[in-house]
Amino acid sequence: MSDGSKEPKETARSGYFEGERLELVWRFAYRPEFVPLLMDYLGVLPQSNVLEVGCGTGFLSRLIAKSVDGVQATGLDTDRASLELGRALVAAEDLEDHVKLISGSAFELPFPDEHFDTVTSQTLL
Amino acid sequence: MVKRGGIVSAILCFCHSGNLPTYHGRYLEEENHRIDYLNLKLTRAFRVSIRSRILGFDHEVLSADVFPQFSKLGLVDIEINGHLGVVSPSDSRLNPSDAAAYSVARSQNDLDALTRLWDRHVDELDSDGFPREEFDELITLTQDRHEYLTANPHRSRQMGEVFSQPLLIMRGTRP
Repeated sequence: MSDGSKEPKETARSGYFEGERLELVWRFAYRPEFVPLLMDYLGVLPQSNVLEVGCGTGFLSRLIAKSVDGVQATGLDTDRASLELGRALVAAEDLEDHVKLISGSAFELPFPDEHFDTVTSQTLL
Repeated sequence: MVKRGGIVSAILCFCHSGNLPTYHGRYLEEENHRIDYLNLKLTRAFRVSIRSRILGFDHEVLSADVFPQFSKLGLVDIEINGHLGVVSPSDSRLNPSDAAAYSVARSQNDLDALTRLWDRHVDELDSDGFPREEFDELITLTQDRHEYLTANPHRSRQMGEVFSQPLLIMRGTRP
């Protein structure tokens, strides 16, 4: 309450690592039969160079790389813990030749002009 | 950033613009309605007063949706599609451990999103249309529902509860 007598319950954050939970939630968000349509909606073409802004654990970047031939996907995020988990998942899924997850801000994109064929994001905006 | 002829796209969570509840189940009906109402009110306040400022969007766009921004950026051939994802622990395609893990993860994500907002923006939201008292109430109600949903791993499995994840998918082409 406004008098400070009832603060938000701290137990909400016990064992907190949001990246792990988000990874689990997203794993069930898209059924396999929908993924090709999702790639079309997002404008991801074969052999293209794709940037995902605010990638977290890189779930979408990895999904793109697994779903569209020859894509080079780059994920960008400021959350180092999520990036660390994401890089481990990239390695575990044998996607190191197709997915790079790097640290950086959406407000200062560390890439040259006209570098990507598609720039996308997932629940960033 | 994107090449000429390239595409800018985004997956947007439109439940947060306030049309669909994200939980459908047997938890107390009155509490569910109150959570949905408060979530909608909070999200509108957040989108208008905080997100728009952070992203540099026009403050007068009361809906604070990103759709007008795609046009303002000069993108053409704009397409808007949607996807209503639903996940139910009762779905037999999920094994029991995945179903239980999903319930916990989804409930805790919702709760953590609220506590993070509280930590970062409670004062701004309080002065911008979402009173601190209602924020407290929403966190308490959400935590109570989270505890109900996760107290018994078999309950969600048996009750046909559904979590939805409504998404808009937008794209435009750089001329």
